[in-house]
Amino acid sequence: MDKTGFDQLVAQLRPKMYRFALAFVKRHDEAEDVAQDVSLNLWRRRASLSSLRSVEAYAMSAVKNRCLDYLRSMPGKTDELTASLHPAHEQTPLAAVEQADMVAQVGKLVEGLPVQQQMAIRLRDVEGYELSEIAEILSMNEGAVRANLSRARQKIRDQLFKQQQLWMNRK
Amino acid sequence: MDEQKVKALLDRYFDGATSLAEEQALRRFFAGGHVPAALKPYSPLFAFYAGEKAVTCPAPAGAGRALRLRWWMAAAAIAAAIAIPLTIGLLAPTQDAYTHYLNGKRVYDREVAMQLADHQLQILAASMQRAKAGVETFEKLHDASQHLEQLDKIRLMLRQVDDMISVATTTTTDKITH
Repeated sequence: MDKTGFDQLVAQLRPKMYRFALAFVKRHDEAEDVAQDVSLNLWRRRASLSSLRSVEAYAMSAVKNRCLDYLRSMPGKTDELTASLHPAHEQTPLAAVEQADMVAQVGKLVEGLPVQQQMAIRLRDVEGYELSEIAEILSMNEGAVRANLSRARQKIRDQLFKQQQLWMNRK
Repeated sequence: MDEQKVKALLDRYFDGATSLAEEQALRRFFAGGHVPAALKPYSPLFAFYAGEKAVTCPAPAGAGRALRLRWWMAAAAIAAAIAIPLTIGLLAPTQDAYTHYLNGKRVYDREVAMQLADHQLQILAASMQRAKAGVETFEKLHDASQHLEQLDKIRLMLRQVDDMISVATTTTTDKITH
């Protein structure tokens, strides 16, 4: 791959890598570093990129691994890797929930999902990847991706509706 | 898109059975201003994903950012490259054990020698900073990182040499003392 082609590839990938990383590392500078380092690694192995089935899936998989490493390195984050969904309303004072914007609540609900489900839902509903691409990025089969996606969407919907109901009851 | 069709699509969406095109249609529907009351509870879901998709990526930080840590690694390697000859000059037994020279200057003690080394390091650091500012492409960044990896190897080698000299000097000093 020549330099022009590589620049175009990175220009297309960088926003996706950054957004995805930011959702997990939560810090802009860390997310930038992840995107930068993965771009640099792609450049280092540019000669063999054509042998990959999907360079984009390879890059996003590298970003995913960096995010998992980051989460593992953070004290208190390990449990979140396998944690079940903790409804935000159990942790948030009811008064705050009443005033909270429902869109922001969805964000909190997404963050409460197990990491694999978060990754699946972000790759699909934010970045718009096909199930086959998500399967490659997350190193799982398409059936597992679909199951994770379905469970994640249903959990968010159910919790959101509960919160909306609580909010309506308090009005 | 009528309400019944949207409901049917939503059912499939929550089962993970919709295509990307169908999901795009759902997003467009909920982004529009005519969402029936019965479907409004779903609106925040699609509004959240649309908002996340709109998150913009800062302008590329350039090579400087990725190079920052590696620059200090290079500085450490250069520091080692300076410190080792100094150490050799200060500690290695010579015919005149109290006279040492660094860049033509007579050095009487370790403190002064280290100050001189610090000064040289600052000059080198400034040079590295200028080099960093000039690096803009991945190609240059890649080349720079390769050089820095080599410098790091040199630093490790010099550290080993330093250790060997320290051991040899201690032994020699002990012999002279006794």
